[in-house]
Amino acid sequence: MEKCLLCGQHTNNLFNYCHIFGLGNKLLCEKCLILLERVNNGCVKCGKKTKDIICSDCLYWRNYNLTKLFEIVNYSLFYYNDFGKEILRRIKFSGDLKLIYAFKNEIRLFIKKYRFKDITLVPVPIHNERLEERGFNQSLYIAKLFNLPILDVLVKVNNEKQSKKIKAMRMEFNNLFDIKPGVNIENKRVMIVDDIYTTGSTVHQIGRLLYEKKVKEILSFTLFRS
Amino acid sequence: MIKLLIEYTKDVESKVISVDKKNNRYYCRRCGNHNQKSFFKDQLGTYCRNCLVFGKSSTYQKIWRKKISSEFIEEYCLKKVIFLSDIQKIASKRCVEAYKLSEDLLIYAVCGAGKTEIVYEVILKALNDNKVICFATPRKDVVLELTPRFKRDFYQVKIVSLYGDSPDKGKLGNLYISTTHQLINYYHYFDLIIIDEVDAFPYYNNKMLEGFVKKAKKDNAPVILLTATPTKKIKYLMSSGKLAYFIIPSRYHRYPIPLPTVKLTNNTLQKLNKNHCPRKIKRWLVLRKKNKKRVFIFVPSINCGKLLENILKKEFNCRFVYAQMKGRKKIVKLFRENKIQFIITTTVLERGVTVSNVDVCIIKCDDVIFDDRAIVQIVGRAGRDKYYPNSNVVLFSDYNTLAIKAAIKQIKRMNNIAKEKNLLR
Repeated sequence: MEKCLLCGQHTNNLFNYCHIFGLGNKLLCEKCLILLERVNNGCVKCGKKTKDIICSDCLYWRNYNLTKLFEIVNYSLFYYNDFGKEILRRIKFSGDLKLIYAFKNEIRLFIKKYRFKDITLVPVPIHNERLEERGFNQSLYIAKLFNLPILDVLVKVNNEKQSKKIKAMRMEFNNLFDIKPGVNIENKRVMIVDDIYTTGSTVHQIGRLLYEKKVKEILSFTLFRS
Repeated sequence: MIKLLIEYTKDVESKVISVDKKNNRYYCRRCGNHNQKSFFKDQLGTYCRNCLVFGKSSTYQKIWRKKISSEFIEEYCLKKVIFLSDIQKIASKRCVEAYKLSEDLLIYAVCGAGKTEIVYEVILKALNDNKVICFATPRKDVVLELTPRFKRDFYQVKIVSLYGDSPDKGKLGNLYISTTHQLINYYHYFDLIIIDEVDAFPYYNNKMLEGFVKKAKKDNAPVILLTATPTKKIKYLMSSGKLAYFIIPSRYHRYPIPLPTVKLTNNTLQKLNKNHCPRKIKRWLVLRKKNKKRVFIFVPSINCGKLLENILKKEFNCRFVYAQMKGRKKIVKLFRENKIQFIITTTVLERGVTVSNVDVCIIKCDDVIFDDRAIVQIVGRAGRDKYYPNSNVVLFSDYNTLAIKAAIKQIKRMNNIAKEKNLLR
């Protein structure tokens, strides 16, 4: 019997025929699954918890002159509640990569639900210094769970922490990313993969870069939506 | 920049890779983990999940074994003479002997036998031999309680107290009072390790912490273990002759340990759920209230404690205390100062709390949490003061369990041994 990845307790499922075929392996126990709050009935574009159809952030991006021309639809799995914060803290700052695999089943279900075809994943990069510190790029590993082709085309130029800025500063563009030269992503459906969506500035900055490369459609996927 | 993991040592200074491969199997130099399941591969290498709480240890990180050495003065002495009973004197002599021969020793002393005082002589002896000593315990509360006491008694010694967020981390000293978790930062450093409450959570059954102790001490440095309720494993080691031991069956004031009485109540949990206190329990509590005696009430779970607090609030001056509570220490302090008469608690206050003149009761003693060791520890809270050696201990239970029987048997046995050896008044 497997142990829950998040709390270390035994998962509470009984042995059945699924185990023989390796299907029913639950990675999370039911107690932890309840604590995670699923995204539903939010903003149509980004999933934010609002009563409006489109939230204020998305309206801002719609009117901002650099992002007017394209639209990004964001899919998130969970809201960023206290439990989510704890998980991300453990993944990113303690450096426990294995916890990402806890979301494997959720992501597989997500793909089945929306039936994505011919999509290329673009994980959000991290700066090399941060990579040395942490040991891995969490977005890349989230993307690996999809079983879809991954194009690691982006480079992070600037090593500033997004979370240390105020909202107004985040929403201005200041060239955090760059595209590696000599990559052809024309006429592809691209999905940007990241761990958390806060204001959408990362996603829209990358979206702008991809748009300039004449991408057919831009989607984005994040584990958490704050 | 990769952060170096620092370990203090007395050996030659070196830098080693923290997770290494041997015979195609990974092992962690930091926590001694060999279990391949708890290693996980990431982008740059492999890391150990076992000791992740203490910082990431991986194939791309190095441990800096930093050499430090502490200073000593000519001669140490205690501030005041500590009076030991005869049996305590023998025990402390035995400890010194074990230290000289560098053997491991277990001291199996009854709750309230004065285990800490027994160790004083060895510590003094070792300090005068210019050795570095560690007094380790699994619980942070014990560290916090012991530090001022040791600072008072060993007034010339540089004492470092180590726990999760202590300000003393990385400081030099001669006597370290530490939680067992903090020993991770030491490698071949201590000449003598004394472990208090060996059987307590989380040290009990935790290979990682045992590994820390093994790593922190020098080779063939002695380890002295103190316990009141040995586990099965320790009992096996004792009986098979692998571990030398010494039993102290009586308390320092030479009164026997109070024997608990079992009182059977019906459907305790259901009654509590209906906001109703079982009659026997209430009658007993009312009697304590009349006599103005403080009472420890142990409950099996937080939920149960909250229910009971709600019921008793109106009539009794009571508070509920549990591990995750923030103002826990304050309430215990108020209880010590006699401002709260009844304290309801989960098993957090099972060890290391000394309050004079208290009565003790356990509610729903048939719960799985109360195994024989827990019951013996809880009974050990009673009658610790020499002026009030008699106190009333009651186990309210739905039925008699094996644990209750075993605990009573153990207490009786210790009392009998004490009687045979003429250690009782």
